[in-house]
Amino acid sequence: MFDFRASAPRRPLSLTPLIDVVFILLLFFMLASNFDQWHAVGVSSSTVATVPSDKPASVIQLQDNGTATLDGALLSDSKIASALRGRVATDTAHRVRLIPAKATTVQQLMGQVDLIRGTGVEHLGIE
Amino acid sequence: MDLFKQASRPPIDIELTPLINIVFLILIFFMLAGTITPKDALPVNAATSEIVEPAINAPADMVIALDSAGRFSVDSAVVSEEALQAALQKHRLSADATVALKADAALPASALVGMMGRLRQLGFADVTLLTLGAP
Repeated sequence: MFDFRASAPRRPLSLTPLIDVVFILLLFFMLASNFDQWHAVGVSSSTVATVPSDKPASVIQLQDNGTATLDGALLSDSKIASALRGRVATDTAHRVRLIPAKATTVQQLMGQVDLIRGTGVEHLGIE
Repeated sequence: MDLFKQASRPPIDIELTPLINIVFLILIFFMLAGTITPKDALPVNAATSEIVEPAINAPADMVIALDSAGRFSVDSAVVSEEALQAALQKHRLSADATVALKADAALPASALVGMMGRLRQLGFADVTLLTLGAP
């Protein structure tokens, strides 16, 4: 009627398979995941076409040696930045056309884009 | 005189719980902090920029990668000029279609501008340049 037999002693849970699975998961995530922080830089392939305006756009030409001209005048980066800040202050929709020379690299181009975007210019076209 | 007889010692019982705790913590870190993305078909060492406009969770529909030699891949597959043209024309039909360019830092800017011009002709006036955060 009643079962007074002593219950079977509980066997300790083996953690080894759990550790195996966790290690495999850890290896997978360590190898497959990356920590790159991607940034999105929105540019236009033609500022003039996309943002019609009466006011003339600033033209920045990036030279092969890394220097840049603003509307034909060779200026330092800081002078270009201050000039652009002044133009953006008077016209918030001020447009900038960035024309890189053939031998410039994308990294040099992005450096110039950084400079231009830092002045508050929103309408930037690369041509 | 049994000099080499070693005293019998009880077996060492290694406690595994702290190890499992640490492994679990490392696992959770990699699961939460890392992102799993498909590997690029071409080796692209993307340009860096200081602009802080994170592209996380807001990727463009189509990503075109350009390596330093000017070859390009679309969504992790190397394609020919004609295949790229066809893919872009098909992509343009979908609403709010956007294109992102992931260009190698050493790529001549003229190649990037050429690609942007091609995109403009197909109706993609605004494109997104994907860059890495400055180290």
